[in-house]
Amino acid sequence: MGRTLTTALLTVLGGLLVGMGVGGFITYTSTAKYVQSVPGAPIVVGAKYDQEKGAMVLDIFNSGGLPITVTSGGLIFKPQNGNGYALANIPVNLVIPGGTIARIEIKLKENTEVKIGDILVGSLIYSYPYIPQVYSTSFELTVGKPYKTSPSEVIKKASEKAQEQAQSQSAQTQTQNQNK
Amino acid sequence: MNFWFSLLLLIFLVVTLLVWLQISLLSPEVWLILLSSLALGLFAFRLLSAYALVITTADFYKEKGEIKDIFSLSKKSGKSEEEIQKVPLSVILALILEGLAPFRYAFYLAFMLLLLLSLAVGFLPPGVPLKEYIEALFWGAAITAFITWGFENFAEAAVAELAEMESSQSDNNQNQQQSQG
Repeated sequence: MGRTLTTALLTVLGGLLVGMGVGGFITYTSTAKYVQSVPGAPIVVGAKYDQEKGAMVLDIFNSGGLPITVTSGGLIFKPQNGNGYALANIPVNLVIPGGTIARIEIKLKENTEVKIGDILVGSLIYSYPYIPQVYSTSFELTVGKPYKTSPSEVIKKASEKAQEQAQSQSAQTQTQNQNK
Repeated sequence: MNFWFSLLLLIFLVVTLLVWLQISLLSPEVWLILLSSLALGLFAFRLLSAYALVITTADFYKEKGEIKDIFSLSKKSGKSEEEIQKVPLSVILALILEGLAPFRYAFYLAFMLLLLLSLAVGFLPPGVPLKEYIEALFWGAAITAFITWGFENFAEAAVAELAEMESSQSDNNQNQQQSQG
């Protein structure tokens, strides 16, 4: 009987492994399909002023699955002293596929003297396929303080924040129930 | 055995027809898992039926002490019914398992090729549907390969236990003859 029992045990283990594999595969494909249809936000994961090109450089991470089409950009230049200016409708025409990072350069006016401490605000106008809306977002950068992070860090911090919020919400609902 | 094979073939054809008509009851991956497990089941049928025969014959012999289906045994092993009654049953069953070697190798070759293909396709960039379809085919084949592997192990264990039983029986017989002599 010992031999049959050993075989049965091995078969149960193999069955567990195969079942986990098949179940994991089915779950993965259905989740991947769902994520591919979610419109995500363009998150700035890197920003700096490039002095040689005279442009503001933005690294944009598409956090969703749908591609983001950036149609145009804008720029506001706010120096510490003197007058600034604003530019609008700078054509970009860039498609950022889901889950990837793209670099966008927004050029300042020629012969602009940019000093450390000046403020640049870059803005983007973008849209998603099959969604009849136009969105816009902007990012403020202080010249001399380049901003740099990574998508994984952003997602990690965002999920921590989401958990905190869920906890505080559940605490709130508990107190509300007690008050009732 | 013919009935079960026809049933398996019928289910396979029905699933094939549904996939061909692009019925969207299930996602394409689940359809492909079903389809490939059934298709490999058709290829493994010779193995599965022989293992099932070996297991049932060995169990029946251990319980009742007689051979259940001597006609199927002679068909599978290629020995005549008189020869089967002369030789110990474990030898006949081991012969049947030995004769399955080419089919076993062909079956595991097909599974291994599918495994290698699905690994190679894994290098494609994400989001290519072909990748997921071939992986679905692999997982379906893995289900059938697992079932076949389990049957194989149980058949071998049954034959080994039968051989132990028969050898201890023949030892007892010899001891009895010696004591009588």
